Order: sequence, then C-alpha cells, then structure tokens
Amino acid sequence: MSSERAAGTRSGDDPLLRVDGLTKHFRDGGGFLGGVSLNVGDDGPLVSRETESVRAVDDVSFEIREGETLGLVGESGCGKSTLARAILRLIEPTDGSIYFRGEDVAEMDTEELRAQRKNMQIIFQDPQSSLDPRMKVGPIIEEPMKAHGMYDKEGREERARELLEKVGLDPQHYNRYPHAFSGGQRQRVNLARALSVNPDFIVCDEPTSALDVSIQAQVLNTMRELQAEFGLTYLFIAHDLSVIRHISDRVAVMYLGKLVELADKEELFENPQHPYTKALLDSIPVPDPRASGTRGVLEGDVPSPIDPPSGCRFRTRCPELIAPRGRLDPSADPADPAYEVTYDFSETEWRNVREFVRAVDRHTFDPAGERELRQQFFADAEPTGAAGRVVDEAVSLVLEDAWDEAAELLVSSFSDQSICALSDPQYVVEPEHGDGPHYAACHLHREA
Amino acid sequence: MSEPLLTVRDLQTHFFTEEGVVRAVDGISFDVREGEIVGLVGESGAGKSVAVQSIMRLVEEPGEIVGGEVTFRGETIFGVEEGPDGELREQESMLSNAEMREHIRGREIAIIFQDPMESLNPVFTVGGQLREFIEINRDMDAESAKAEAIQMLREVGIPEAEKRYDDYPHQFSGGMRQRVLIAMALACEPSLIIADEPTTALDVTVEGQILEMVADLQEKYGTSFIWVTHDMGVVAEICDRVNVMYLGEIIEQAEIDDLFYDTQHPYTEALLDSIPRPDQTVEELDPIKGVMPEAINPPSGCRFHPRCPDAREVCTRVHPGAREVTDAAEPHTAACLKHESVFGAGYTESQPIESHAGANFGSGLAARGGEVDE
Repeated sequence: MSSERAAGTRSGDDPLLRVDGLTKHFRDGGGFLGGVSLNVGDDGPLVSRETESVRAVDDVSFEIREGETLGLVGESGCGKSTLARAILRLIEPTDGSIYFRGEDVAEMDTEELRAQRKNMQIIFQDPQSSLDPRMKVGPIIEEPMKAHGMYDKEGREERARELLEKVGLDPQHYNRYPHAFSGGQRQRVNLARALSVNPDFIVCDEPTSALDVSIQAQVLNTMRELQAEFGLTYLFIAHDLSVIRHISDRVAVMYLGKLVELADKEELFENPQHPYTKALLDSIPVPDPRASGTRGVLEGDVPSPIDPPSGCRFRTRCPELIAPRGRLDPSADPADPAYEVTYDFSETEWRNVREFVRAVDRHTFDPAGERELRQQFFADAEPTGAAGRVVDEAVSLVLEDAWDEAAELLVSSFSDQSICALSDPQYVVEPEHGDGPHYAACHLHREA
Repeated sequence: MSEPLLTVRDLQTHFFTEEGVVRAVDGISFDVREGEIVGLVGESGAGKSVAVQSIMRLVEEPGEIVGGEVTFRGETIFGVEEGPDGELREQESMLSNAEMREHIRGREIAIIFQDPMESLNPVFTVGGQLREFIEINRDMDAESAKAEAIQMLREVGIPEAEKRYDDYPHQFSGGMRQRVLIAMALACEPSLIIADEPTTALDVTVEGQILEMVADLQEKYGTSFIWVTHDMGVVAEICDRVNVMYLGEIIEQAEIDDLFYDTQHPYTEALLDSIPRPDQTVEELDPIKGVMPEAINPPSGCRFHPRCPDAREVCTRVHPGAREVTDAAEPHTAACLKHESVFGAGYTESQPIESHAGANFGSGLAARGGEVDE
C-alpha cells in the first residue's frame, strides 16, 4: 500500500530488496492463564480471554538497492531488530512481503528459504555469544559453507584462511578458540563467517555497539573495504547516529514500530523533516566543546507498543503537535449548531495549551492555587472561546485533585482532535541535498 | 584558588592474580575543585572504574590500593607512609572503615553506577529504598524522610512522584531508574558525586534528558562531579576539566577546550580522530592501530608506544611522567616525550620506529601474559 510513497517512486533498475507493508505483532500475555479475566456481575461469559498484541513492527516499507548501505536508526524498543529478523524470516512476519531480487521471501517454503539464506546473512551485536566457545574459529567460519554444501573439506579450509586474512586477522589463527580474541576481533570472525557463503546482502544488527571507539573505527573501515571488494549490500542497524552517518548511503529512522523518515544521508542529517529525527539529532552529545549545547530534550517516555497512539505515533511527545481545528461535541444533539465546536488558537495559545495538557497528563506539577497555575502555564496567552471553556473546566478539576478526569477531558478535547491523531501521516518532501526521494511521516508537510 | 575538594596523588591499585600483578591503576594524580565537573575518560580496560572505586575505598579482593594518597577536605581517605622498619604502612591519620562508612560514603561522596538495576533492590519499592537511605544518613524520622524522598523524586523529574513512590524498580524505565539513583546520590547533599558511566546504557534522548538534569542540579546545589565515561561527546557536553586515561595512567590532563583544540598527547589525538561525528560526515575514520595491551604486563617505556604514530626509539626505553607542556592558564599536562623542550629525553635525535601493531591485527591478540615488545 504505502511502498510507492515510502521508498519513493523509482524507475529503472530493480532494488535488491523491497520490503512492502511488513508487519510483526507479538502475542502478549502468553502462558496458560495469560490474558484470562473474570467477569463478575457482568453480562456475558464469566471468563473471557483476551490476547493483546505487541505491535513491534507495523506496516514498514522500503527498498535497498544493490551495493548500498541503508542505515536503520532508532531507540531501544522501536522494533529495529525485530524488523531485521522478520526480513530474514528468522521470525515469521505477521503480514507483508519481502522481495529479494523480485522473489517474495515471505512466501517461500522451508527448502527455498534455506537456499535463499545463502544470499542473506546477519551479524549480531554481541560478538561473544554468537560464537560457540567450544569451536575453533576455522570450523566456525566453515560451518555455513558446510550447511550449504559448498566446496570439499580442503576447499573450505582454504577459503576460511583466506577470509581470515580479508577481515584483517592472521590466517594462522585458524586453530584458536574465540576466547583468545578481543571483542573487535571476534566481530571480525563473525564477519568472516557471514562472508563465507558469498552472500549479496548482510544485515548488521548493531555490530559495533559493544566495541570501544577506536576498535569500532577499525571494524567499520574493514566493513567498508569488504563492501567495495565483494559488492555487498548492507542493512546497518544502530542506535548511534554518528556511526549511521559514517557508514550509510541512505538512512531510515524508526519510532515505535513505524518508519518516520527515510532519505539520503546528507539530506536526513542536514535537512531533517520529522520532529522525532530532529529531536534525536539534537540529543546526541557532540564531541566538540565549542558546539552550541542544544540538547533539545524530548519529554516523557516512549509509549507502549501494545496500545500505540493513533495516527502519528510520535504525537504524544511531539514538540510540534498540530493544533486541532475543533471537535464534535458529544453532549450536543447532531442537529444542533453547537454540535460542531471550533477552536481558534493563536500560536502561543496553542503552545501553552499543549504544554498544559502534557503536564496534567503526566502530573508533573503541584499547583499552589489557581492564580499560580494560570501564571505558570498561561502567563502570556490564554485561549478564549470553546477552547478557553475546556481549559477552565480542566483547571478546576486539577484544583479539586481530579487529575485523571482533567487529563481525560484535555486529551479528548485537544490532543485526540489534532490531525496528528486522526490520520496516518505519509508524505514525500522535496529534498534539499541530492535528488533521492525524502519520505517524512509528519502532517506538518500536508500542504506540500 | 582555594584548596581542592579532593586530591589524588600517585594512586596505585593493583590486582594480585594467579597470572601476575595487574597494575590497573598505576600512579594517577588529579584534583577536583568545588563545584566543577571533572571527566575521567578512556577506553575499556584503561582503569577508570578501578580509579574511582579506589577513591571510595571500595576495591575488592584480589585488588588492593598499594600506594599514593587520597585526601578529601583535609581528611585522609587513603595514605601510606614509610614506617620505622622501612616498610610501607598505612598512615595513622587515615580514616577507619567505620568512619568511611558513616561519614564519607553517601554523605560526603556519593557514587552512581552504570547499571541502575544492579544498584536498586528489586524486592523493595523505589520510594522505600530512597526513604531508608535518607533516614539512615540524615537522622530523620520515617515520616519526614518519606516527604523528603518524594520531594527528591520530584526534583529529578519523576512524574506523579507520590504515586510512583510505591512502585518497584522493574516498573520504572531505565532512564527513570537512573534518575532515582541520582536522587539517592543527591539526597544527602554530598559535596562530590562520582558518576561511573551513568548514561552509557541509555538511549540518546534519555541521555540528553539526564545530562540536562545533571547540569541544572549541579548549578542549584554546587555539587562537584567526577564523570567517568568513554564518550568524548558527553565529555565535551558537561565537563570543565578532563583526565584521559590509558592503561592505568593519566596521559593528558587539561581544561575542556584545550583538550579538544590544543591536544598534546598522541593517544588523545588518535581517540578524537577515531570517532564518527554526528554533526558532519567523516569520509574516512582514522582508527588507532591494534588494541590496548593488558595491564598485567604493560609495554616498556611509554605504554602507548606500540600503537603510537609518533613513537621513536627513545619511547620504548623512557617512561614519561605527566608534565606541564603548555603555558595555558589552566595547567595542561601530557605524558609524551615528543615535547622535547619539557622532557629533554632525546626525542628529536631518536629514530622513528615502525609501530609494532601495524597493519597486522594479530599482534593485538589478547594472548595471555603476552604483549611484551622486547
């Protein structure tokens, strides 16, 4: 559905990998009595069973071209590793397709998939636990070749030694055990193992996150050299934006199971168009004491993926949440003209209201009295009209210590009426750097 | 300039293992002044954590503080002197274990660790643990300690502090747990907080929140910090002065701007060159060659010489101590012989050497007891 927009319309050569509407939901509340609840006094069955699903990856679409590196960045829990595993079908996707050279990996049977895996390899974050401590590194590297019936015994050993050298290790180390290697060297062994079956595509899941900076630089450089030599295509997952900027050609940003932005590297870093990407970029400490210290701190925590916010998933924390135009008054008769309520915010009024809604929702303050409260939130501008009446009501609820009711009223009257909550944003914007398509899932671009 | 709050002189902490003596911290000296944030930066294995544990006298077997002196506000936390029999013995003025426990730890110097889940007890509520800590350390009754605890939680930005007071640690996110630990560290209004990689396990946006909060709190309470980290970005963001550690030694010490813009030690230089930047595209990273050798048998002479691009023959023989190398207003020290006018070890006429760790990564192999160069 969204693949055209997400990846941008590309003509000419087919991409190596095309992911279309990929979705992975996990069932929560496993176990025998998981999700079981008793209904006492209610109508209907006495016992009901409800399974909630964790929507780890939701309708993600993108393409990766032959020979490029697509960086995938996001914070912990945003679903980037789940996405990587779903692409390789290490976990079964709930929905969507993964086309590798035009063939849908999601539809393959076991035997086809096994053969396909020769072309798609993965490297994990922890170089220690992905190597069998009781095997020597030589046989570790030969293992995938054996599984795919490549070469004879001598041929495999020769190739293993050759690969050791390619990844910057000494071929003499063929007979050593993983524990004799440092973290960076173990990650090189992992690289050699992934390369052994001559794949076209490697998913790298935080391959350098556990390494010291100087070692990380060595491994990143080796990965680049190998890419040039073997014509590899990488999907490079990391939470570190500096690493992503260094290694990627294009970058995708993920938040709570969705792609929020996808663009060429320079474009994404120099001209970010999604407020989440901007916040991420502002948060990284820059290794330069003279850099202006904007930390642009994002409020609150990531919401639960079990019940993610409607529309744009970032809207509950977004500093640029769009003002609602109005709402339908649930208490009025639809025939009544009062049924449609219109808000008329100035920019400052909306900013104040937005901050007030969040402060009440998170209960981050304790009001000393009405005057102090209004002084704290609405010193420079206070909304009037329909919006003003909602704010007045919420203020009195807060002063009565009815925080939940106040939050409920404010959220349903304002936040839930914003376009950000009502529809799923999908836009392509004009790039400033380069000519690659720039996808940004933010309603701020709705006129564009 | 007033007396420094904390003075560390020639501190040595060794680990006596079966394979030999690991000189994890080998003669480091630095000061922390009132109200400043001092960075302790280096890669894993540099000895940063052991250094701060030594300051708190928290080193465990088989580790032992074997030399040097640590003084805090005129009180001796650790010190050795030569006894009448010529043997080294602990100074008499040194605080006893009980005094350390009752007066220093928590009250005067607090410590925050990297993993907040390790530091919080999972079977007690967050509020309860904080209350108990305040009760014991500040001689308060349970009720006022609880009020104080809620106030502290609010101060570090825990929403609905009163309600969250009764939550268990697992109900908090990683960032919130770290906030709780900071609340705990601040609860007794200590003069010095040692933060051992407190934001390393956190996401960048959460890390940003914590750094922002620390900067605010520091301004409010005027607390001094020792900030241990491997992240040059964090250092640039919050530190006033920085100590760079390599293999148990402080090899460069400078005011923050000088360290980045007037770098004096090749290791610091190499470290800065090897980090990818978030604010600009770096086409080619220039990594440090090889890996850090083990502290059990450090290279002779300058410990960095096997990996150093500027190493000369003299560097394999002469061990440089840290000396002042610039005439900056703040002392700027570096332990590198290439500052010939300061060290006068004959660097200029010495022959450049091929760095052993060259293109062959194998030489960095973590072979036991190995890494001797001669």
